[in-house]
Amino acid sequence: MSHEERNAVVSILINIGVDIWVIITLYGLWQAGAFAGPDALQIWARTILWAVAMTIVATIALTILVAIVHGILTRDEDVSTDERDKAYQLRGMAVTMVVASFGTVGAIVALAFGVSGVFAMTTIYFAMSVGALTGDAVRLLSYRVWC
Amino acid sequence: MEKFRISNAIRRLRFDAGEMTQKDLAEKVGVTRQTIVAIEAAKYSPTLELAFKIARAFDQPLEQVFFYGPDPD
Repeated sequence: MSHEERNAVVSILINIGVDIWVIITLYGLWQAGAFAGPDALQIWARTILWAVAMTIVATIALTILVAIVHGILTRDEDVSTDERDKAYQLRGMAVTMVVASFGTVGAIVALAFGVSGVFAMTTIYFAMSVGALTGDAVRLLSYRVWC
Repeated sequence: MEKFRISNAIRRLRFDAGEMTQKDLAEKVGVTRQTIVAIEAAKYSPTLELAFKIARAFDQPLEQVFFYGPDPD
């Protein structure tokens, strides 16, 4: 498994983990009535900022950790990338953009029909998140199945 | 309509070059070993630049390394 394949797996795992945390946290806040007041969007934004920070820190930490463990176990310390990695990265990004765009448009349509700002922003967040997840899955499948 | 695909003679050329390893070839042309594995198995078609680099690594013209023909599958 190449360095970029491992990165795709790490990204998928972190994305799923952070999304579960976001769902649990937002659901808890919603049940506590935090999104009923005028500062609903600020509360939502703080939660998402934590999610973004966790994603960045976890990605850096886990990528380094996996590279070290893989290097120790296989004695393969190659972390370089090449044109194939870039080609598959572009393929994944294209899928990410399509999914995220559909979700964003869906959120705007939902706003037009009167849903709350928090609901619309949550839809956009998950559109981007699912987009990233799908893009990483496509990247991984490109290495493993489609080639 | 008949399907065409890119195949190659990299495995044979490596053998002819004194059992050059995939890692050696990868280092010569500046890609990862996994990319050479994928190209050799015809699972990834390299860019024109990389194809020329591979051909140059074997001191062969491009058409002696890569072929474009009917897909046997």
